[in-house]
Amino acid sequence: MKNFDAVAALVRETLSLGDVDVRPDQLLFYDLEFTSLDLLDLLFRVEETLGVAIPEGTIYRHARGDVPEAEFAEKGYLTPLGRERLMQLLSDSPPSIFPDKIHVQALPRYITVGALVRLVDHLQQAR
Amino acid sequence: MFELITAATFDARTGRARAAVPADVPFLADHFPGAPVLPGSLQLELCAQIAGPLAERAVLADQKVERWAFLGMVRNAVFHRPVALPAELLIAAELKRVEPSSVVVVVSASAGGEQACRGELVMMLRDADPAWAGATAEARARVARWEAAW
Repeated sequence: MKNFDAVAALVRETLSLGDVDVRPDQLLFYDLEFTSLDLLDLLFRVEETLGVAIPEGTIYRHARGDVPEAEFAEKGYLTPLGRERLMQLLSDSPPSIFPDKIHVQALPRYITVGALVRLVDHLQQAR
Repeated sequence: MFELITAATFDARTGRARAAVPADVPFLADHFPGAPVLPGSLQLELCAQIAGPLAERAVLADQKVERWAFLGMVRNAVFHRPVALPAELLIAAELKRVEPSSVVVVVSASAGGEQACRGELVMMLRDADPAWAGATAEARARVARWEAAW
């Protein structure tokens, strides 16, 4: 995880945490008590500092891959296949946090610091 | 604050407006007695009144959905000089980034020909609750009045 130190510093900055440990296994929304605005703030900081833009829907697109849209989500919620694909993508998040019905706009709620770093690494490499 | 805006105009990516702030606004009586100054937070609030409709139109054009904008975050705000009241402000807003649930708008307010503040407003977009029907109709009518007055 090439960008771990940089992302951890941005997480601390976003939440004004001071000099505390941020670990890859921490869930942004559950362990670090992020709100959706905190996440947006963090993503702005990632873009400005690391030059990687993570637009809305990025996790959705990565989880869906080449699965047809209709098989991945229906009426605003992931299908069972969609849920499985999301859990595979976010395999370091505890399975117990994924509810049976997951709204398509709620996918970032299940991300860990480590998963965000992997995404940043991947997007940086893909540039 | 929207009652202080007198006229506005919008195109696809920008908005401009005029606002007239008198010296005797009751809630500014203590800011400051005998030397009224428009607080920086209210300069940004006036900018947000223009950033909101601009963001709503952008999301409608880009995403084909009608949503309502709320000020969610202020970034990189700089206040260059105090704005003594009464004042006529010129507000400028320009889209920086448009996403389905958030729009970043670069804003500035000028008074007396000099920039008073600038910053970025992150407008959060939400679907309109049917219970807001009265408020949303009034908001539309208000923006139409501003445009007619430009």
